Amino acid sequence: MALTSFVLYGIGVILLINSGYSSYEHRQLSKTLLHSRHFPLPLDVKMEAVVGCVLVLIGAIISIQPNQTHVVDVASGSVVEGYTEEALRPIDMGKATIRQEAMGTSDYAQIENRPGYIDIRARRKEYQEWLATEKK
Amino acid sequence: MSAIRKDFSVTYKANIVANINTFHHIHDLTSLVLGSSSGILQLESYHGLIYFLVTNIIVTLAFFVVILSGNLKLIPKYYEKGLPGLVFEGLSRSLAGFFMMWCLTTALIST
Repeated sequence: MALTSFVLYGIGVILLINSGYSSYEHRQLSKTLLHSRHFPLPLDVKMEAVVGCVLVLIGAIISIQPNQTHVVDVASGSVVEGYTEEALRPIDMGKATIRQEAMGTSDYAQIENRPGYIDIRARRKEYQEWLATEKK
Repeated sequence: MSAIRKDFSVTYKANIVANINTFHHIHDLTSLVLGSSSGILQLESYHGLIYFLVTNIIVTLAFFVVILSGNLKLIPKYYEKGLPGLVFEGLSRSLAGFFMMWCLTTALIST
């Protein structure tokens, strides 16, 4: 999905740049040759710009379509396959927490865990002690 | 104080924010592109403003039809304030992006 939307963005932007240059040329020509008389833009330039916009819009909407993700189930340690993540997440607490349980993570994990506040020396000491007991 | 509200439900704030960001992402992206296209089409004054309003409505409708499958009952499931509240919240943001690109492309093309 991401690749499709990027291709659409690319084509849309190229079309926009092309029509923009055509519009620039038209403006400059009408300035010099027609003595800045108002002269309407040709239809194909307009169509090109509009088609470029539509392609970018389609790409943007495709990029948030639901996609299948592989999620590790924390309880069993196995990979749960075919868990479809919805495009929009349910805001009801019950349904949201079901999703969190399936994912095994929380949106507030950064606040809850705080890896920056881990006492790393204590952890290393603990690990060394564990290694020593394992070697014996 | 013993009245029970049937419509009362506890919501999960992180998901509300995520949904709003999904909606605004589309509007941010398309407002830039539509602004540059309105410059390319050499629209001036009210024509550009009308173009912005029409395309903004089209983008919102496209989101509503494709992502929410055109179902009005699904909106309170994902958004607290409904679709109009969402649109008016993001309007100033997309308007700013649109105007920026409109001015830029108009200046590039007409000078």
